[in-house]
Amino acid sequence: MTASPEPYDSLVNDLSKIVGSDWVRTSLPDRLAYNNDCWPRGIILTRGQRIYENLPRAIVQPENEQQVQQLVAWAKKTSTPIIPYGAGSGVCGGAISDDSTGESGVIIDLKRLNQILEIRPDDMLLRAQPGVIGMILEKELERQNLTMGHFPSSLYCSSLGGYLAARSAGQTSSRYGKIEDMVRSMRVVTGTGELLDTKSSKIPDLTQLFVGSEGTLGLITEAELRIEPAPTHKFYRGFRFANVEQALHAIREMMQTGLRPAVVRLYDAFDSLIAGKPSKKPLDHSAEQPTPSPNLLQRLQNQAATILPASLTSTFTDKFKARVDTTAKGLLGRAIGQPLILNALVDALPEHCMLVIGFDGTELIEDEANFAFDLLGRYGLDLGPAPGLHWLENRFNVSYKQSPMYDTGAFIDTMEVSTTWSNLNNLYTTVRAALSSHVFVMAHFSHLYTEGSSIYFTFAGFGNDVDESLERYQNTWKAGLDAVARAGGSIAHHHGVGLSKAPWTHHDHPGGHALFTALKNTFDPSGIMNPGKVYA
Amino acid sequence: MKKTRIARSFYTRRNLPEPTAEYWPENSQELSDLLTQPRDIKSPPRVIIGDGQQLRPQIIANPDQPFDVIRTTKCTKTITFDVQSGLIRTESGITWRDLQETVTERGFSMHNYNLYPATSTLGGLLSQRHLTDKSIFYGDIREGCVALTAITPAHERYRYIPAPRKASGPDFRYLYLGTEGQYGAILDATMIVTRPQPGRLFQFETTDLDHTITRTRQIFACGIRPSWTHYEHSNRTLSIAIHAPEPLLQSTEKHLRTHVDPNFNAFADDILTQRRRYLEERHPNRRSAPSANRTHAATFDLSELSTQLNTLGISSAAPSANQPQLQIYNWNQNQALAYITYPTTEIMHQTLARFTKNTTRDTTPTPAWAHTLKTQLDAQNTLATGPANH
Repeated sequence: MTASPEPYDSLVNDLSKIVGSDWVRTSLPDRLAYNNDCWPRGIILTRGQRIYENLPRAIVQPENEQQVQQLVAWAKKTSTPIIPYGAGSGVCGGAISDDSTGESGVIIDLKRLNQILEIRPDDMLLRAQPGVIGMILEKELERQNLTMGHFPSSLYCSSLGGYLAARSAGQTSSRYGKIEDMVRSMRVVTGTGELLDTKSSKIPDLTQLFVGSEGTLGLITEAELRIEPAPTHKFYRGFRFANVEQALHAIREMMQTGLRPAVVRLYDAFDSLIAGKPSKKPLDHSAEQPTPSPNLLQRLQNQAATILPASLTSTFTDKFKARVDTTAKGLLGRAIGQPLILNALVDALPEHCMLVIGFDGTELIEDEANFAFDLLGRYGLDLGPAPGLHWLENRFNVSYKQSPMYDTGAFIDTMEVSTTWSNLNNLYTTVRAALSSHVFVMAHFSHLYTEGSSIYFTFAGFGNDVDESLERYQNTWKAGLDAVARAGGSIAHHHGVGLSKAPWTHHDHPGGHALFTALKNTFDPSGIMNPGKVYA
Repeated sequence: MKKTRIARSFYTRRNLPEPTAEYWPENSQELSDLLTQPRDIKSPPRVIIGDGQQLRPQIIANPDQPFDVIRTTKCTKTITFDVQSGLIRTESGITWRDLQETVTERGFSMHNYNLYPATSTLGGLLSQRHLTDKSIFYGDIREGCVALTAITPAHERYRYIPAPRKASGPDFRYLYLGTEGQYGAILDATMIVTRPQPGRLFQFETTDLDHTITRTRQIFACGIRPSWTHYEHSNRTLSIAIHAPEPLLQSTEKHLRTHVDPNFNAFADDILTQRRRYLEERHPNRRSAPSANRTHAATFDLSELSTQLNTLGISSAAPSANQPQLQIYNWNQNQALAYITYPTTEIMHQTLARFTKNTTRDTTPTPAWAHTLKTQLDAQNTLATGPANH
């Protein structure tokens, strides 16, 4: 693999005229920094020192909507693919230049469009630009006793534009909805160069057609979203159930009774096991309780650490500890390389599973929470508030600590699928079985609704070298998404499609490819907008 | 399925031009065939009609051009009923009232939905031009539509599979939801149904419109989730319907009396049900309502609601009999949908002529992309509705 050709002088000149030369980046380090978002495949490539794949020709950072419009006009004129980029936290390769399209593109990095333009408590609405980081937005709302209610685990490192582009969900989606429920309108520069305010078109509702289009139809330059009063009361609990089926039955009854918890997270048997040892005094809320950690790597490493005697580890020097840590990770990687054995062991585990549930709201929410806790208590064991509160305190720890795992040759990824209640167990067992021969797999159920739920599979695999890792990674995704399609589930609940799932999108939308083509021909007739994404 | 003798009164009552022919498909397959089978290029374009509630003369066709009508009201079959998931999949010609009764017969309910005209068809309600934003958990019919099957004249059948809230690209349902049949027909839809819960109707008496807005904000600030809302300006009565397990209804009522208004009236489930039927049978959105031609509907953000309504001839105090009458549906914490019925059509037109800010949709030239999209999905103009025919 060789590096892409150096950017042409004319390209740099053209782009500099629009945004200023300080905001056009063409150096190799800059281009390397943008050759991947958080797509694990890209991380495997990087760890394997294959750094020249998907290199963009340039990165350009516009300051305002007019510059975005000019950039699209330039791209149209020069037939240059353009790829919108927010904070780069996507995990499906949606924000990278796709080499397979035959021409590397220019990244339009929207970070400088990061203003919160207006907050209107009287109408419970806000307007903001796409580059604003989720946590900054939430902090500003919090100062005014408001919230958007959108808390993805990547809150510190993800942007509003990314949420909208990929139909993101936060951890409290069961109460506040997903981003497509919150957005009211957007300003979008389409591939024709036209600036649209979706508010002005009610036929069709362009907002819902552009949300989730991942930059394939236009670039979002502004959005208006609904907000809510910040919760004044929070009630969190943990419950233990005999098995997943029993837990899902209880949760379904709760959701279909019309109760609206903010957080519902049911961990399957292994996920629950490594979350913490079940207490023998479950009703004593002051006792130590199982505390689900959101971080797979931490959890796996903690398991590996238990192999070593505590008396030894307490006397280690830092240097020696680091070597032990490396060895443990290596062993862990090798262990993950035997997924059939690991998954079979998990199948033999006790079936107990843990639920974390939380209610947010005004003081009125306490009665609803207690009603729900009573209902759940008829099916499972009430573990008190500790598991829920522990989860609440650690809920953003997940997205920043995965890369060391890749040093061992291992990879970790997640697959978030969804279906109706009547198909949930079928989807769970079908996908788990399909993944089990390729990777070590666990799951939790989160983002629950009256009609169904998403399932969040987390899997870890191993390859002896980069080629083997890539092959296993690709085979895993193919097996998993083929199984999802076979079982009648949706291939994506909140991570979007990007490059990784594009070959499977048609399963979610039978007959939809023609409609996508119609939209592309309407809003991006030149085919310059993020080619290769969403549909393949 | 073709019928040449036209039910003229249907169109007369709705003040619509008469078609040259009517088609009455017996099921969704026949409906689909009517849009996709080759037809004589000279034959008139077609309009898909449920009960015609939402039709306006300006969208039905070029008044100078003939058109045929496809009536969907025979397409009423229940395709599946998923008890576990609480989902009914039914053909799109079923009326709102029949759908409610079908669901009730099976031990479920649709009482959490907003108020809609009883005789509207499901397909009509889904495809009508929506005046409010889609909102979550407030019973919007778009919110309850988990899946649908649709057909466009130029392409194969489209199916949005029933799975909650996908992140797999653009939501193509919105080429059919709210687009008035411009791009195709909704053949069937999968709707959320709920297990029946006890209900309570809370009625607040307010002093004027501004007081009502304040009251509404207070109610929503409590964090309650109404099934539906209604405000009648003539008697300044704000109705809030809530369905929940009995203990939660009791705590909600107690909370509202403590924090909002100690003196509101609370009515039990049977009164609530009766009130819903009454309001749905007299819904101002009915095209066949005698007052349809002098009723204007508009949505406003709460912060501008009072001012805008004032511009439309509504004073904050209750109106006298010969003044414009106001009803408000679908309140939420962002906006409200107002129906203003004027004494005469002349007064309405005069008032609207002065008021242009929120009526730009019908006066703004159709953008180029709208023509392109119509051509992409209905190249031969099989469907009479759409920008090409405006």
